[in-house]
Amino acid sequence: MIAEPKKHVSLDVLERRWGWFFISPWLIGLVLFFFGPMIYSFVLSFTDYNVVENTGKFIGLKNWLTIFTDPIVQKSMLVTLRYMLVSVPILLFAPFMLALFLNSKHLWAKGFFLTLFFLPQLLPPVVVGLIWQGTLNTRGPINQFLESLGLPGPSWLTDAWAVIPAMAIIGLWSIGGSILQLIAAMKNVPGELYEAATIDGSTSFTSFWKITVPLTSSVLLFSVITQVIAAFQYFTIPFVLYRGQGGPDDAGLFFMLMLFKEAFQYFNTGKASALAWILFIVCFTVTQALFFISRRYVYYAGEVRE
Amino acid sequence: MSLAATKTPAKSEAQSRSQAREVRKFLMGMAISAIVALIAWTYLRPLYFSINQSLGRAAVESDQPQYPSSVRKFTYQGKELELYNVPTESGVKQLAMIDKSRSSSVFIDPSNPTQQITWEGSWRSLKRIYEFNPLYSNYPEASKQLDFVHYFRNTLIVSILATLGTVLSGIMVAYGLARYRLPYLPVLMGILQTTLILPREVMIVPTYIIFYKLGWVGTWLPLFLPLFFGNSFAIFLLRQFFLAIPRELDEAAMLDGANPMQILWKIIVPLAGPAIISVAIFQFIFSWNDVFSPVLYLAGKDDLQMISPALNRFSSAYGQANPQLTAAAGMLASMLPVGLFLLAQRPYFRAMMMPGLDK
Repeated sequence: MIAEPKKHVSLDVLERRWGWFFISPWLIGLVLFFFGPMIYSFVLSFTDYNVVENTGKFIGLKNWLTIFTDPIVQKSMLVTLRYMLVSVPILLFAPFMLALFLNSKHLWAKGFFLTLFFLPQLLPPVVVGLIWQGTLNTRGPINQFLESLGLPGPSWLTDAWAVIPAMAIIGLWSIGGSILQLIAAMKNVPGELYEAATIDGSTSFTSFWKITVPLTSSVLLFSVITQVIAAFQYFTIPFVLYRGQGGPDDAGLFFMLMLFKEAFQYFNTGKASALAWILFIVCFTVTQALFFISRRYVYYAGEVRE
Repeated sequence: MSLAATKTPAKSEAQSRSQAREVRKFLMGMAISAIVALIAWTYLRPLYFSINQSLGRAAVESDQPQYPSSVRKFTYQGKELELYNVPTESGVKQLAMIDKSRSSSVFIDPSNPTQQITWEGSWRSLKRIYEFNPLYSNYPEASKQLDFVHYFRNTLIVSILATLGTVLSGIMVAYGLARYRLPYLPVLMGILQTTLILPREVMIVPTYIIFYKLGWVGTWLPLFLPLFFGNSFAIFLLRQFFLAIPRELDEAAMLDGANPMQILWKIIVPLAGPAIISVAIFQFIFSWNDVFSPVLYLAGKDDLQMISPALNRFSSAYGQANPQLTAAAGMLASMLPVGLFLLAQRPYFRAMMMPGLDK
């Protein structure tokens, strides 16, 4: 009984020890697979190291400056940027429209339709690439459809100008997650808001613009940022369609594909380390912006609900 | 009596009004559902195309319908004759072609094969008759050519190990982060959130160098071992779930003399079943569908390779000449993830609701 307070102190220490024990795998993993490699590759980014030959010497900032000097690196950044400009509006608008439909109180078999729109996302990306390779074939169903309208069908995968639009079309098969998040956001909008607006004489059109859009805008913004990151890591589809190369006139040479080639085809490990660090910095900045926005979003939704 | 008489029409008026509302609701539902069905049909068109292709033949004629089909044949005197739609004086007839030439062709009527019919005109203007005739044998053929069973086994083992690692480490670390007042907890959470959103592609060059030095390239280790050291997605999702479990349960068990390990496995884990299943299914499908890591770490290691890179190489080798085999192999590779999803959509959707994970 007298030892009670002392026991409390030791329990606290013991408890803390258990806490460290539980998270120890993650901490070890962070050092081994995150901080360690990051620091090591940061050092390597100032050398012309080759991981296979295990040779390299200090070359200063040369690797980092390739984003200004190397035409291939610049080309890949241009391709990635172009893809972003085309795909982000599409990948924002399409899930929004579908979420509106799937959230409609009139729709039958909602779960069934949601499953259908989700299905392509479950297919292995290699299979997705192969399916679209057939679909976008010069004599494939898309061009047959265009022909039936009397329009000339482009050679989607071999005309340099058509590569980015083709990639954006394929990107439509990955909107399941966005649809789901948008539906959740729309469900979060309190029904009383619409009722109050209707009583005040608002048409469903103005309700849509004044209630639905603003209250889901944070999710939309979130989605934009995710798309930007996704564009930087876009790899599998062009990798499958162009057999690990850049496609016609390097029009499909996305940043990640270029990085992959530098690192694992030419084994320019030093240069690839610098490029990976540039990618890291871009994604990190975008991620922090995302946190900033999502923090505001959580606050916002909480306020509405009260 | 009079009271009842005045009541009845009023009632039926209300009834008919509510009936009209029902009808309107029904029509609205039908219209919207029809629109969504049309969009869904267009959206899934490439998949339909590919399934048809997987049951079709290597060579596709220009006049062939989109479903798997072959020209209807009529066997006469040991010869297989193609059937054509031939316009005659007594309407369009299905006739079997015996001899074709530019200005006139010879046909026979299957119902009366002894009598030959000569048709004036270019046979090219005639349409052949196709019938639904799927080639199911493409599937066993593709499986054999690809050595599907071998890659299926490899992918299954790696995916199970990856899932096991993710779940075990996820449960432990999430519990530690959810229940213990650790110093620097906000910093740890910040690191967790950053690694959660950062695409793993960012890390691929640095980690490749490490794995190369460790001699792990060319083995399965890079594909599953790091997951035993925590997967930020699993940790984050499970932590959210653990936080919702009342702390009193832990405390009651502690008073009964249970140690933290026992509390975690006997109390928390059973309660967090649905969240753990979500994480497991998500990780399994992710590992199964992965192409980036196996391409990188198992290049040239055919005995260890996973299904996606194998399929990619198969399509490079057979894609041009035998698109139907590539399509069938693709369907075979998709069956497990799609099947799992259809069985367990709810947990999968729960995992997908995590922001930033819709990759």
